[in-house]
Amino acid sequence: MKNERALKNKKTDWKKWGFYFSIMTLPIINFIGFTCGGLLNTVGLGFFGYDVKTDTTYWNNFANFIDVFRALTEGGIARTFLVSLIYYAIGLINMAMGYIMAFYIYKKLPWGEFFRILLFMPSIITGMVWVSLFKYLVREPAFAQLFGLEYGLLSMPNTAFYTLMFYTLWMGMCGGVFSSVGFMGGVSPELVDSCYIDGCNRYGEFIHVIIPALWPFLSVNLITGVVGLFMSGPPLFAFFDTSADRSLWSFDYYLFSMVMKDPSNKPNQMYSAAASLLVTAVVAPITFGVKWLCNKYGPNED
Amino acid sequence: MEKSVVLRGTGRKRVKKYFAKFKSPFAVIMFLFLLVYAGTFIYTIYWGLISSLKAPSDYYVNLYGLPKKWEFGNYTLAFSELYVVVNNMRYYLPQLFFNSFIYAFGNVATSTVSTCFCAYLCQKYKCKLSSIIYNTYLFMLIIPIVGSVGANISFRIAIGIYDNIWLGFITNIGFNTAPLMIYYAAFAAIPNDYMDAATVDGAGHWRILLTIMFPMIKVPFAIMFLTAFMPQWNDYMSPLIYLPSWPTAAVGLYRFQMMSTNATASVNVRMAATMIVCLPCLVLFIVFRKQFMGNITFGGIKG
Repeated sequence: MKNERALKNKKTDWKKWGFYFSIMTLPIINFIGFTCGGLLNTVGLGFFGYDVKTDTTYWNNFANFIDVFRALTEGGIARTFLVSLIYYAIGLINMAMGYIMAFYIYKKLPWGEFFRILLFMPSIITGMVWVSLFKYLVREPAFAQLFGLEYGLLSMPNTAFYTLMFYTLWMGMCGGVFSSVGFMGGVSPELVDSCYIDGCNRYGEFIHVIIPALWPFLSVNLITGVVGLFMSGPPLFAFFDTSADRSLWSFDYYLFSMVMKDPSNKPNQMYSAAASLLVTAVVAPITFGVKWLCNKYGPNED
Repeated sequence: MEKSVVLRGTGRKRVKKYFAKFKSPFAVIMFLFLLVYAGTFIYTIYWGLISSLKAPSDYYVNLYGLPKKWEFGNYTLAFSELYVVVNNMRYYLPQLFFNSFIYAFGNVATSTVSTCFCAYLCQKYKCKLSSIIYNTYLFMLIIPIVGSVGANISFRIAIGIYDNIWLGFITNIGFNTAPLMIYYAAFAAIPNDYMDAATVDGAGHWRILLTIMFPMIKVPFAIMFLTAFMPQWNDYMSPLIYLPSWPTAAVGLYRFQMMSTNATASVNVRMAATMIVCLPCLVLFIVFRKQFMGNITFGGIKG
C-alpha cells in the first residue's frame, strides 16, 4: 500500500516536472544563450581588436578602453555626457509631471477620462510620425517667427538644442501617465479616507498616501532610470539620421550612430562594446546605490 | 410640472457639483495645463492632416490655414512612393504593413504567452528553481546594460539570427520582466483551491493551465497583449538595426523622411505618408479603446 502510494507520488512528480520543464526549458536556454551569451560577447568584444588587412581578430588588452577614455577626455566627447545629464534631468521632470497628471485623472477631476485618452496618443502613434510632424512644423520660418526668429528652429544648433529639449519634454511627460493611473487605482480607499480624516487636503493625499503607495513602482523607475545619467538623449537618429550636429550629440547617439553608419564594421563594434562596458562599470554601482537609498529612505504609507 | 422641477433641480445640482471640483487651485491649474498640453497633440495631428492636403505653393504661404485647393493627389503619390529598397527589391506600403503586423504579432505572441506561462509556474509551482528564475529576472531589471547595439549585432551575426525574423521570434520566448511581475501578481490573486479541485477531478497540469487558470487572467492577458503590440508596431529602431531585409511601415516612414528624390521632396507628400502610416494605429485604438484603457494594477486587474 505504502509502495503503491510512493509509486503514484513518483509518477505525479514526474508528470509535474515534465510539465514544468516543457514550459521552462526554452526560456532558460534563451536566457543562458541570448541574454548571458550577449553579455559575454559584449565583454569579449571590448578586449579584442580587428586587423582589416588579414581579416582576423586579436587580443587587444585594454587598448579599446584606452581609446574610449581618450575620446572622452580629449576628443570633445565629454560634452555628450553633459547633454545626457540634461536629458536625464528632463526625464525626471517628465516622471514627476506624469505622476501629477495621473493624479488629476485618478481623482476623476473634470475631463479626466478625455485627457487620459488624449495623453495615450503618443504611445499609440509611432514616434516616427510625431518626429516628422514636429520636424516639419518647427523648421518652417513662419513658425520660427512666432518666437522672433528668422530661421527654422532646427536649422541652427543653438535653437535646435532647445527645440529638441522641448520635444523630449512634450513627448515624454505623458509617458508614465497610463500605468501610473492604473497603480493609483490600486490604492486602498480606506487609506485615502483616513488621510482626509487626519486633516489632509489633496496635496497631502498626493504626498502622504499616493506617493508612498506608488513607491515600489516609482522606485523601480528611479533605479532603472539611472542608466539615463549617461544614456539619455533626444531621438536624434529619427530627426537627423547619423548627421546631427556634434553639439547635439548624447553619448548614446555617439555610440549608436557610429555603429549605424556601418553595422558590420568590426572595429566600431569593438569600440562601442568597450565604451558600453566602461559606462556600465560606472552606472552599475550608482544603480545599486540608488536601490539601497530607495529601500532605506523610501516613504511609508503609515 | 413637478417632474420637470425635480429634473431641473437635479441638473442644477449636478452642474454645481461638477463646478465644485474646480474649487481647488490644483484642479484649475491642472485642467488648464492639460487642456493646452493635450490640445497640442490634436493640433499637431490636425496640422499634419491639413498640410498633407495642400499644394506646395499653398503650404508655404498658408502654413496654418485650411487648404485653398484640396490636393488628394498627395496621398496617391505618397502611397506609390513610400517604399523601401532591399537587395534591389522594392517593398511598397501593403508589404510594409504586412511586415509590421508579422513583426509585432510574432514578437508579442511569443513573449507574452511565454512570460505568462513562466509567471504561472513561478507563482504556482513554487520550488527553488522558480524562485531563482523570478529573482534573477528582478535582478536583471536593475542591471544597466548600455550601448550594446554593436555587440548585439555581432552576436546575432555569429549565431545566425541576424536579419532572420523567425529565429528572432524564438529568442523572444522567455520572460519579460515587467509583464512577468504583473502576471505573477495576477496569478497570486487566484486561490490555489481551483487547482486542487481540478486535480481531484482528474485534470492534468496542462488542462489546469489552459482551461482553468489561463481563462481567469484573460483580461490582463488581452490588455498586456494589446499594450505590447502597439510599441512593437511602432518600433522602427529594432527592425532597422537587426532586420534590414524586413522593413516595416515605421522603417518605411523613416526612410521616406530621409529620401531626397524629386517626387518625395514635397513636405505635403511627406505629411501624407505620415498620415497613412499613423492611420492603422488610430483605427486599432478606436476599435480596442476599452481594452487599451483597462487598468492594470499590482494586485491584478481593475475595470
